[in-house]
Amino acid sequence: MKPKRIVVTLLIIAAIVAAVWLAGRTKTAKPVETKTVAIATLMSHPALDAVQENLKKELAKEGYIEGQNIRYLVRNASGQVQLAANIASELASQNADAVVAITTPMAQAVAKAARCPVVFAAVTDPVGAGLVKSLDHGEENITGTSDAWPYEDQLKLIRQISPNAKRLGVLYNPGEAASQYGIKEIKKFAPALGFEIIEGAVSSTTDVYPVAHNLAGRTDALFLSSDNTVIAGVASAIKVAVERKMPLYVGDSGTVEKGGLAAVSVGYAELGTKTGVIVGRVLKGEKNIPTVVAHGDEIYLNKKAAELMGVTLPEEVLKRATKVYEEIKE
Amino acid sequence: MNWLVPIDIGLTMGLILAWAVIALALAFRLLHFPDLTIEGSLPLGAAVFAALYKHDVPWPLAVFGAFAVGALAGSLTALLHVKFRMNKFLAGILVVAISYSLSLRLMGASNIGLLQLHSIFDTLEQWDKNFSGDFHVATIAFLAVLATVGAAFLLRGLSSLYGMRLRVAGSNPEYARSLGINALRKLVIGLAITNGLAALSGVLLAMKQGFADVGMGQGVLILALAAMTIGERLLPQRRLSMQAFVLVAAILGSILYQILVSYAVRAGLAPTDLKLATAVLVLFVIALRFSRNGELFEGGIK
Repeated sequence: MKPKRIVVTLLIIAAIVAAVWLAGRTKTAKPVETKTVAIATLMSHPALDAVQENLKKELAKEGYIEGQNIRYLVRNASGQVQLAANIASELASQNADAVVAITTPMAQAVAKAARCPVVFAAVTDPVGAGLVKSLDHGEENITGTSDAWPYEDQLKLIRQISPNAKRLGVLYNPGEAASQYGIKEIKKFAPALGFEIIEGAVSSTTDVYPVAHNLAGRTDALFLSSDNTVIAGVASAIKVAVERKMPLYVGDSGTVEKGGLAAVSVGYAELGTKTGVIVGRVLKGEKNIPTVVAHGDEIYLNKKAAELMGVTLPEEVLKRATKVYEEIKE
Repeated sequence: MNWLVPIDIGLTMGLILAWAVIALALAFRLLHFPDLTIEGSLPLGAAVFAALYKHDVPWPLAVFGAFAVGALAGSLTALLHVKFRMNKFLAGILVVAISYSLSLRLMGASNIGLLQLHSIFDTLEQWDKNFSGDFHVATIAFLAVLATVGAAFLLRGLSSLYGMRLRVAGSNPEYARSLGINALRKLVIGLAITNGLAALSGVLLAMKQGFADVGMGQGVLILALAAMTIGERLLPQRRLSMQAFVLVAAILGSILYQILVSYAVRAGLAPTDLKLATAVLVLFVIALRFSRNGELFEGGIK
């Protein structure tokens, strides 16, 4: 019925499109000296915020002072994945000199839409995400930093602190790309170190407590993967570990401070700095920059957590530690 | 003329997500089924498409596969409601949960990058780059034609005898039965079609954004509801038939909603304020047309 109506709708849309197009032909001139760096992130989260902050700090050190010769456009999807394409298109229209994309989905959307160099950050598996073909050879206009956790080193640390642990319970959210990669890595290195891995799948932060509780009954120690969901709900896992007097190993320094027993950590501040260095090189016009993987080798321990979980920290581990927290920060 | 960019983005994203809004509106308004399934069938469609693409299945087949699996999800919701007398909402929620696990299984990961896929959007983007600079005329024209043709097709179907029966089965099952219409089967077919459309929306979105992710359905339901409401409030109803009104309002609402969101994004709002800002904008539009009356505005479904 009413094909007229359809034709009218089509004409209206065509008119809007034409208006937009005509308007777009008169391009505004851009000031020459100021560099524009767009930053797109999926969500706010202490680790991701640290990346942003230290990236700006590093660029300031290289002579790009905010408000003088560099301008930042920051966009945050507040956790809504379907906003990624919207944000990516919007930033693509800003004629930025570089776009920094934090987290995997954001990096993919920005890489698809961008018309300028893209620097990704905090992407666990850039090759698996299809961003770059290999870590050693950057794409012409896409490069960045990866925050793959050093799972092998982390498992070695667990073995050192809990020499008798056989079954290791791992909390992770199968809905996150980083955890999918994480669980694969953990399973790869576990047998050589004598661990049997028991998986505990979590789909929201409210699942962390019951799943951790369930795992605790069947395992000798708890661990988690680089997982936004589990880290957001880590307090309940810590509670379970303290109740059951068993160790909870984590993977980042922030969580150790909050009561995780121990971690070999990627420093997100350092990741931000490294991203900043790459952005600096991109702004100077460099292309084909290889991906930088942040290899965390810093050990963080929490003495109070050890006491509550009934674990004795070996002297040699204490000596190697970068930082030992005495108290649990609430 | 940079301030016009959000309109450009809004048109693109709005026409992509219009399919999900149409899916919700058809189920809600014509089948009288508040269907939550789209929150699952949209990412499921994207997942099926991405998984098939990864296994080198030609894209038309992958698109069809996505539609088919989305349709299956929809018919499952209808069957749960019809056969097990399950509450409409609960049936939808269950199927969303199933879709989530199924998407993970099918993709074998939570996220598949489609950056190497050379889709129709990349061809169009190339034209846009050469001819219209910052604005995506070719992309928008393509999506607009797709939406118009699709809507015209749906309209014909809904206005046919079969479509009438479908609508009667939705709005008054008792009456439909007295006319000898198999209301249960009609509901299954109806929801299969709407969720197939939602799955197609997911495919378009995945192509446009360059990835499929299990999390991409989150919030789609709210977005579709808001878009539908805006469209229905703003579209003059007088000379349109019910089914045409619902379809056009869904497309119009989807575009307007995405334009509003794009302006909110462009303002660079803090993440804490972004959702509130979108909600306030939607409220503003609704308040503008508060005085409207008509079948759809007096407490909804009759």
